[in-house]
Amino acid sequence: MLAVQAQGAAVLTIEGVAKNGELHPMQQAFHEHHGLQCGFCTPGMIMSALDLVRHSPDPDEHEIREWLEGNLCRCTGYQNIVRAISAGAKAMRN
Amino acid sequence: MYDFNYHRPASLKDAKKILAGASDAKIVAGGMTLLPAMKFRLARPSDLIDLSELTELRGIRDAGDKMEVGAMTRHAEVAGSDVVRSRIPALAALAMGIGDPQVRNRGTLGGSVANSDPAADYPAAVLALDAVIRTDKREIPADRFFTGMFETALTTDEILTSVVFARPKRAAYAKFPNPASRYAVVGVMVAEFATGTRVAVTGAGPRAFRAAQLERALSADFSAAALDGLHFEADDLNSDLHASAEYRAHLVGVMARRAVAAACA
Repeated sequence: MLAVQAQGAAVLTIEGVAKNGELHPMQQAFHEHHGLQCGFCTPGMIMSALDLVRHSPDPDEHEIREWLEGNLCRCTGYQNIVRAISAGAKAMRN
Repeated sequence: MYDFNYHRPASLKDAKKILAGASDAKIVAGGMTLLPAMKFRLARPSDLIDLSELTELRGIRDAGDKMEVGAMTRHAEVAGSDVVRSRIPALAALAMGIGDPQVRNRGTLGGSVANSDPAADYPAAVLALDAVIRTDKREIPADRFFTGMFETALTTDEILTSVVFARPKRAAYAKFPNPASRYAVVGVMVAEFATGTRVAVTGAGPRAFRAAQLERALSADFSAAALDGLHFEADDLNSDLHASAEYRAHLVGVMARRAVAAACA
């Protein structure tokens, strides 16, 4: 979309996810489960993951993989990203 | 991207006024095709008219044997709508299979239909579900709407406002998606009505079209077995790096069988 189309809207990016220097549970999960290698796709992965949890607080593996269809990672093979999102979703429920 | 004037009118009336007054205006709905085309400098509109504020073009209205979907309704809204899921579940399933979540959150029914991309999913539903396309000026039956590759019966000063789908007895859409884009290499929608079965094919030719041969077979017997032995001709189908015309012709038969099997399940 064009930036001008976001006029008047609130935009949340990866920079606004951590609070008071503390990683968001989803960021922490990516860290703990090694859900990144080069890190290029990570902001998009985490923002998509947060949107998924908003729709479905307890997503299964299939749901996570379907939801990530629009996010490409060329390093990890997705396995640890899926694990990280599953763990991050759990941490957000607790 | 070249410079352009951006407009976000608050009413259809204002949108029409801007459209009439600009030299080479383009309407943007979800922007899933137009914005990338502008970034690549393949499109250079003088003015962009964004319809996203027009709430009158948004929403789903169920009217018994018909269902009207506003042109600015996003794919995710159709996919997640309880009304669509209970009244025409095949349409909700089709919308859920478009692109990825990011595309479904932005892309709109009207944008997809007005664009007539040969590999888009919605045109199959418009043809199979005997839809009527409503504009600010008139109503156009589905069978007269898609005129060619990226070409429709819409005139340059016309705005698509909604699509009215007929509710079938049962229906299903099956597609063979391109693994990267999720566009249909071939997609087939079958819809059984009291008056007969409609079969629409997308992805295979320059535009979505109905398959008369398959419709005759399925109107006589709505079962996957009714399509056994039918040979779909590759004449006039697309050949590109994704698939040859012959392979697409083969996929039409396979997707039609899968769609019928899914509709019967």
